[in-house]
Amino acid sequence: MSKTHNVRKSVTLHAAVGVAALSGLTTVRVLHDQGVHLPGCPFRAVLGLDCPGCGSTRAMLRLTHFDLLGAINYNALCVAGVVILAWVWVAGVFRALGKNMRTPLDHRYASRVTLYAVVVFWALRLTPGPVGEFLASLPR
Amino acid sequence: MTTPGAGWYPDPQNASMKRYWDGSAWTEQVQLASSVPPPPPPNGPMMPTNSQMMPRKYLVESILATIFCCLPVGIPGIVFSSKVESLWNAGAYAEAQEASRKARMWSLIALGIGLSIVALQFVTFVIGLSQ
Repeated sequence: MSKTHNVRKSVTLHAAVGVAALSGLTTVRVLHDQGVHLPGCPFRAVLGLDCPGCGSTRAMLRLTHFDLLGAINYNALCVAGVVILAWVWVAGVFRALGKNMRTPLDHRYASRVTLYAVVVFWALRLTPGPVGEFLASLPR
Repeated sequence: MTTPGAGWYPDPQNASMKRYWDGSAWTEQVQLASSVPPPPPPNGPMMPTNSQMMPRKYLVESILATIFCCLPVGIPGIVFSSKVESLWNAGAYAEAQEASRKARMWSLIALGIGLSIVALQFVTFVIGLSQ
């Protein structure tokens, strides 16, 4: 009895998260198409430099147009993060239904790798040159 | 003539101490005569409290915070999430639990800030619509 309850709770939670994510994407897309200016990054507004999250919203917008390369150009880390999070979401549904599924975040050093990835990405996108420009939050 | 077996005996040089006799000679090891043997180490810190399961890392939450709303809040979350991993792998189970609690705190802060920003923008948007 309690196991079915847990399954139902988990599936409901994942469904809610999925709906929320799709709603967020739809909202961003609709607002943009209406001409509403998308929010900027406070860090960038003050210091003039990209933070690791800069360009995420516009990257997500590009994904609604199925423009993967454009999305990566705005924020590669965000796209990679979203792919991994989607993987975790799918695994969560499978696990709720009884089938285990491994994700990159289960790895014993997943957090450490994430931290390094954020720092390296941040450093790279601030460097001058073609790599820095591609990773920066403005399109080329 | 038989010599006494190995053990702690009153130190011939100092009556208030005991010296260890290894069965054939006195050693350098001494202890106070009235000392009580140290209690066995408590089981708590050395045993994982939750049947070998690493405490929750809150990594997903920290990643979301870093990408979407609050870099200054997401990074500490990832740092503590990383600490949960390394402490757990090193066998420091209680400390890993504590790091998990801190990662959770930062996730909640990020969630609060993120929701506040969304609410603020929603309100601004609605006000803009009505003008």
